Amino acid sequence: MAKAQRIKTAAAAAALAAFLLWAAGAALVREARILSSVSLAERRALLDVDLEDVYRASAREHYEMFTALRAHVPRDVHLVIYSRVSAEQQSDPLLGQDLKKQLTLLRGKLQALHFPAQVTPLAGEVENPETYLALLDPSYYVLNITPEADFPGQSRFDLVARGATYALHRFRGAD
Amino acid sequence: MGALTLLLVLATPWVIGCGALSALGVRFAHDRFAYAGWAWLAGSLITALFLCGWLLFGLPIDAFPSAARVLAAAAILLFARSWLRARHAPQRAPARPEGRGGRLERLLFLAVVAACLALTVDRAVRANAAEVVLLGDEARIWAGKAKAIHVSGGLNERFAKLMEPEEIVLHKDYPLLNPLLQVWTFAHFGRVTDVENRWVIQACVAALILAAAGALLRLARPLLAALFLVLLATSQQLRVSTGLVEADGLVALGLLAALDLLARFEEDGERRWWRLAALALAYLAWSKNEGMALALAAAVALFTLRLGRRPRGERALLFAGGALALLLPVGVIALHLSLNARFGFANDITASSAAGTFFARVVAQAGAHLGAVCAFAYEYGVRRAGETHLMFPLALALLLLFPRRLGRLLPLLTLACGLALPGFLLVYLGTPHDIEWHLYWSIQRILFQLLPVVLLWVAAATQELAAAAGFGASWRAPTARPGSRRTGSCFPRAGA
Repeated sequence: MAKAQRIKTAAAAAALAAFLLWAAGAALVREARILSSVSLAERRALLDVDLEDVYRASAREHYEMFTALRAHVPRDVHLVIYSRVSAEQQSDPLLGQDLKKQLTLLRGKLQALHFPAQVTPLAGEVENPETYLALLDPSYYVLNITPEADFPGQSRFDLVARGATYALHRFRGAD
Repeated sequence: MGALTLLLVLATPWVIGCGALSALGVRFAHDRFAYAGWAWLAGSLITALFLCGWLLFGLPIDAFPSAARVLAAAAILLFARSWLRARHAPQRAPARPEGRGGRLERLLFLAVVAACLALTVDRAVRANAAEVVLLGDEARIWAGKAKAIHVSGGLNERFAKLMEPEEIVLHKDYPLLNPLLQVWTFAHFGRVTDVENRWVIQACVAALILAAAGALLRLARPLLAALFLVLLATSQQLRVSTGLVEADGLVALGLLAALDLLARFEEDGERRWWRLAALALAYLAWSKNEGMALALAAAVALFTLRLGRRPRGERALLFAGGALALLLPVGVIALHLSLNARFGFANDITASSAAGTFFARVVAQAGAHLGAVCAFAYEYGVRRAGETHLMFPLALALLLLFPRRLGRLLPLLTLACGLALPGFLLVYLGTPHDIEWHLYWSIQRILFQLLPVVLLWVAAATQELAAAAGFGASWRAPTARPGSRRTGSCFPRAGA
């Protein structure tokens, strides 16, 4: 091999080796920092963690609600999340958006944690109550997250469970 | 009880895999590091295929673990028979690479592998103790589909009905390997789980570490291989994949294993590698839609390299014998497409939209999208060094600086990546989604899927350059054992 080529190859090999050592070293320092953020005792405790505690921490303020769902609601039903809001609240650009966002987040959480077949958010009044009621069948449950207020057609539902922040109802059928 | 159940969830596919490897003639001595990774790959694929058939026949999900244990018992018998045969037959130990480091260096490599595995387990434990499967793609794509299968009792009309609403499960057309492995977990616990279903997917990342260790050690001396293994284990997306029940780890494992095994077959002609590579290709194709594209790229690369390399008669013979093994990946792809057709699951990228067909969109959007693709590739491939440790630009730079010395290095791997990258580019050019949104949510994963094989290439290149500079032996694999059939190598000697 020509001398120039040999020098080029040796320089490249040396540069490569230096880069690899730097990259691996930096990665190991970063990893060590992450590892040292959890003590050995904490790490040992993680091996024995109660998965129900993990579930509780993930469900956060909705844990009681999700426990009720697990106990009473099959996973392949149609669940309606109802939130009582006034027309003014709904039309308020900031508050209305916030309420919509809350419902959307809860809906996502429900489908991830409980996987009901379909989750429909419903807020405020129903435009055509009779049509809405005609669509219901015994696979429908309503999760009222404003339990101090009734939801449309509540008289056709049986109360299944209730907590401070929710009331769970199952469709009974036609009167 | 939970820990024992989890042990069964993880051990059963692995035992099945060991039996499958025995049936294929692959022994632990062939690769002490990659063996366990291959066993997991083979076993989890076979378990998922078996479960798929079980569900299609309408059999009860909860009875499947017992059936799988029968399969595992058969696998143990296969393994025992193979082991006894190996003990009594005169066997030559696989040739060791020459000049590949002394005992201390190999011990250091072993320690690094153990540390990387320990790190993977640690990350998995921390992720599982932090939060249940709740957010993002792991909940809305992979676990969602698994829950739909379990709740409906199988792949039936009830499943089709559950999947109907748009928002229930996203990307309904994605392959079933990942969801079925989660259903495997649900079946053991008798219910949908919220955390335990992560372990069976996290095991794929551990298998990736082991398969990469074996592949790297074949190409580079132990010290160098250890460096590259550290780079893989500390890459950002591998850390993310270890904590989630997504499928990118499966794609990375399938691609690495398939290309490594095909390379081994090309070197020594042993058919065991070909058959195991076919299994890896099936695993890759069934992991994710990108996996299917990568499997096709690997297959096209292989056949392109083989064309014109052999006399007509021998090529015909080889292709005839090899074609049977390819029935598995082809069959898996056919199964996937037929199930999607049956349930009406369409792909969002290739389906026609208001803007026209996929190719019409590629033509119309190429100019607008190319800039964004380049910008994101630079951002995640270069600027954010921790993502991929600059391996992609480094590989390109080495290829440009030493085209003669490195241009024909690992040709199968190079050509497969060379075919895959334009394929991914086409997807971005023809996407019906907002290009920046699509890139933001996907490019890191695409880079991660390719990262292990790019690391392999750079490792081989580094070894080659070091050897040329007088530091150690070339990357060249050990010489074939006397008497083993060689079908010609796709690895010409460096400088030839």
